[in-house]
Amino acid sequence: MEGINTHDIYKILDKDGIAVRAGHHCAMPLHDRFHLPATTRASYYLYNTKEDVDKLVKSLHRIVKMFNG
Amino acid sequence: MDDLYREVIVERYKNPGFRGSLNPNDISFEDENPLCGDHLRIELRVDDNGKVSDARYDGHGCAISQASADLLLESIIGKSLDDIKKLNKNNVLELLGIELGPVRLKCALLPLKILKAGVYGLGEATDDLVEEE
Repeated sequence: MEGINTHDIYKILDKDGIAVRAGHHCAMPLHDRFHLPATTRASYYLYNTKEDVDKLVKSLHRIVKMFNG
Repeated sequence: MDDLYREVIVERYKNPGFRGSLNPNDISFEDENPLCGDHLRIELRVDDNGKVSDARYDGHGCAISQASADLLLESIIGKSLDDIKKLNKNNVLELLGIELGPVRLKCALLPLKILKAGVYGLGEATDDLVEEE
């Protein structure tokens, strides 16, 4: 998500009730290697549904619109 | 719309009024928040009467820290260095107009911390700089 800060993304997803992890994920050397200040990571597991994914995508579109629209 | 991302904050972040640098400048100070990686440098020009005639910031970070820097610098143009020394976190929260949790509070207060460390001519920016007296 070009031009949008990791911490802004996770905070707005959090408000929408979506839990993700943001930052270096205990892997700072890897982020340095790819010249990334930080990343946001969404993980799925057995209990997640297709609706959860739809909700995430909808929120991400809203965030892009908010910052780049 | 999320309270945390009030329109004024996102607008400031997208269209800042005080982003850039001043060369030459009278005061320059930079620091970062190691927890989230926000990094900021603030530069001031001070006139013969000890008042801020121009101010700029540069760096990277979340919308809260960048908008806080922009609003803060706008508010100090024309103010004396003594006025700036009296500012505390309540002044910043008033400018932002939002309630913040402990983590984002650090982002919001980073600009004031840097500004005051620069004005006081300190070697480092410490958290007590933004507390009420």
